Amino acid sequence: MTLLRMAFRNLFRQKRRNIFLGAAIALGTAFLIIANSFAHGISHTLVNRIISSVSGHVIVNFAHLGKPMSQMLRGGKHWQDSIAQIPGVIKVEENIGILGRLVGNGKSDNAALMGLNLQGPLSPADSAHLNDDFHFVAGHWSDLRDSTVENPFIMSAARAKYINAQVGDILRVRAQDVHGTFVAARLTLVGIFEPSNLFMESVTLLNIKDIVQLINLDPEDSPSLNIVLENPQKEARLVADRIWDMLQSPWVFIEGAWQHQGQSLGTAFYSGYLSDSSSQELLQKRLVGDFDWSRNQVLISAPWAQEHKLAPGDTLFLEYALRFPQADSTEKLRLVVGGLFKPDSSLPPNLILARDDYFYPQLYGALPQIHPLNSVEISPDFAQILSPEWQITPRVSTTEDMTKVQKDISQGKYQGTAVSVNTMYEGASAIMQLESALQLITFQAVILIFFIILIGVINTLRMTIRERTREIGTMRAIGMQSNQVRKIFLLESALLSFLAAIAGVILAMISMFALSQLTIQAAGNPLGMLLINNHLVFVPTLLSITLFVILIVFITVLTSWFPARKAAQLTPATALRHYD
Amino acid sequence: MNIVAIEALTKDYSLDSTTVHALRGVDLNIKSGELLSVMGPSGSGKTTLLNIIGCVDTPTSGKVEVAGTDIGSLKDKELTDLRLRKIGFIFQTFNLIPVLNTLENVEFPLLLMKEQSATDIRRKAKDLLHAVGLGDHLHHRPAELSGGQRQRVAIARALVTEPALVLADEPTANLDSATGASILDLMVQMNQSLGTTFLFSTHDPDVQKYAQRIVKIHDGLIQDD
Ligand SMILES: Nc1ncnc2c1ncn2[C@@H]1O[C@H](COP(=O)(O)OP(=O)(O)O)[C@@H](O)[C@H]1O
Ligand SMILES: [Mg+2]
Repeated sequence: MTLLRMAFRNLFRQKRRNIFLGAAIALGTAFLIIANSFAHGISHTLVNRIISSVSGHVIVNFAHLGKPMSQMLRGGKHWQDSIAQIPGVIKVEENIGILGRLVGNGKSDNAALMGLNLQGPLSPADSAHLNDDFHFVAGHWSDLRDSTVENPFIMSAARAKYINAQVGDILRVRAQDVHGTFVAARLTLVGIFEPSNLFMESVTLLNIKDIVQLINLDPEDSPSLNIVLENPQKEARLVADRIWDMLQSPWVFIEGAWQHQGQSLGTAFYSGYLSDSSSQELLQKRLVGDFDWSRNQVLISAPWAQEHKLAPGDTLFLEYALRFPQADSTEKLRLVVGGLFKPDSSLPPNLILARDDYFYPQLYGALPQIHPLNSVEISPDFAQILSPEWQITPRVSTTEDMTKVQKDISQGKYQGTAVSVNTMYEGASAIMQLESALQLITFQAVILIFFIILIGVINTLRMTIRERTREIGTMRAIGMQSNQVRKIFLLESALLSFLAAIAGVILAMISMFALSQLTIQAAGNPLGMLLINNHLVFVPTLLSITLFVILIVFITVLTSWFPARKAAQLTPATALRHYD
Repeated sequence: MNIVAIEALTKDYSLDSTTVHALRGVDLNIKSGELLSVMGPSGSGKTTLLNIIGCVDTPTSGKVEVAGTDIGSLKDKELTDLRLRKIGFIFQTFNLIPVLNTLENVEFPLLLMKEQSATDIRRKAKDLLHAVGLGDHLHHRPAELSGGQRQRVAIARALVTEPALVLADEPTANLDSATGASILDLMVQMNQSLGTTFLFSTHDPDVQKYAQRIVKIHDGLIQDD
């Protein structure tokens, strides 16, 4: 206690020197905290505001028939409930975004039409988010609920100005629906907003129920999904992995009644084979006789062909029951035999296979009932050959890999619906990289501070010890042990660094407050996306501040150890004889 | 009973290539309760002798016993403990701790000992400061005191642990003669009232009259006892 009191009073003896050193440590600490809080702020902005409002923490994307613009999974609606059951998932939102051409008053513009989920009552937090994200110049987002106007929509002031539109105007839009057909509709502009961040500037928002109609989405189908998590930083990847596991595709065996020249052939199964070269090579080994791999000719199993005396060139008719019956409850197909193959024992002996680019449009055009065979295990060879109901793409961990998968999709690698599960980390890893760059700055700040402390503390302590040598001698003569001498000096620097670090924390808080008050106009600058409502965002956390303070005190004490030990090891006679 | 027993004590200092023989065979016994003065000119070895007796320096050769302990075999920790419990120091330059006030300076050795309660320590320090005539200056810092007052604080600090021996190296050298005399009077008074053994060094022959016994030292040898 006395030692602490002495250390404290000693600090004020060499005021100028200690204030100088303390100021250096405080500045370093402040820089450290500001850099760290800014880095945190970026991920905060990204994770909690931009990503969750634009794309969710986990994104499940469907590319219908392998087409990236056609985002739907046929018969996939029920997955929304299964995903919502996963622990940590707050909500599963349908993400409907399509590109279209908006025709304004004398001008037209490409527009990204997005659905805003306004079904049911909004939570206060959701409303608050919407109010934060959009500052309405005219109208309001709640006008999207107005059922008396035709397809109400809202857009940013910049876009509205470009196409020369005002609230109340009716514009025409041309877009492609989920089936790839061009559709046209009339949209009513009900709100014009100033976006709070750059992402929002280019979007045109409709009520999700209107856009669902516009793109002709059937109720049993699911558009792409945005999944909002309770604890995104921790759980995004885990939840994505779980969803990916869940969305592994079953096989698809269409069981139906077959006919040839008016004669019934009994029941048999219809499925598809993948047309990529390695799958085709495997199937090649199974061929009986010749086959020219033409798209619109099917392969039938050899035993079944023999049983019914079928040969290439024969025309077959298949009728099967629908999974989601509408006007009709069955679907009829006409298929032409092109060749024969030998199924193995893991497959039914009465199987007909069509090339994937022929099979999938038929499949999705009229989904068959789910057959128990779909979930049986089949041999590794045929597991590579057969086409599953949809095609899940590999899980990736970097933006680079994700881009590769997207490129595969856009280059037509998938004939079925390509299903990808990604987290915001993969999707936004470029921006996340910015955060790690800032973390690197933080790290460099640590190094900088370390050197300030190293040089400053060692020099200051050396001078102090030289000045106080006779005092050390006196204390030693009176009966102070050498380790207590060391303790005095260590306490002194610990105290100095602690007070300086606290001053640094206060300085950082004040600076961050001041910086976040600045209004920064960054329209057109990509860095603008780091701003919220034109303000910088800092997110200091108690944990990291505490850790920094501890770190700084720790470094200082460690650095002081050697000069302090030297002081402690002076023999009392030498120290007493010292005159300065 | 001898509080200090010294036989054939030598102390050499090596300075660059030369060796300084500061003490060249000193024999000296000091009885408990004595007030003894070591007198000699500057450079004669007084400080060296007192330092060795005070266990802040170690002999080159010879045997030194302080309060019944042979100090030749002691480690730094034990020597420090011996100084704390058995020896009080008074320095020519007062050597008070500048960041502590009068009271805290006197309490300091007892706090190092960690044997008594804070209130006991405070009471004891106050009593002693009253006894040396500084009862009105308990909360002054050393810088606010005169030389004589500082030396009184030093005397109180040296006595507060009830040591067997108080060593004073030229305690009056930095004081004017009147103040010096009052300091020596105080030491005599404490020697008589408490029975503490005092050993002080001086180069000033006028100071002789305060001592019961005078040891003259010259060039590291005792000349006259
Ligand atoms: N640390 C030292 N190194 C070298 N010589 C020293 C040292 N301390 C004292 N001396 C020498 O030893 C002799 C005795 O010194 P000292 O004991 O200080 O004498 P006094 O106190 O009587 O003036 C002197 O010649 C002095 O120069
Ligand atoms: Mg001397």
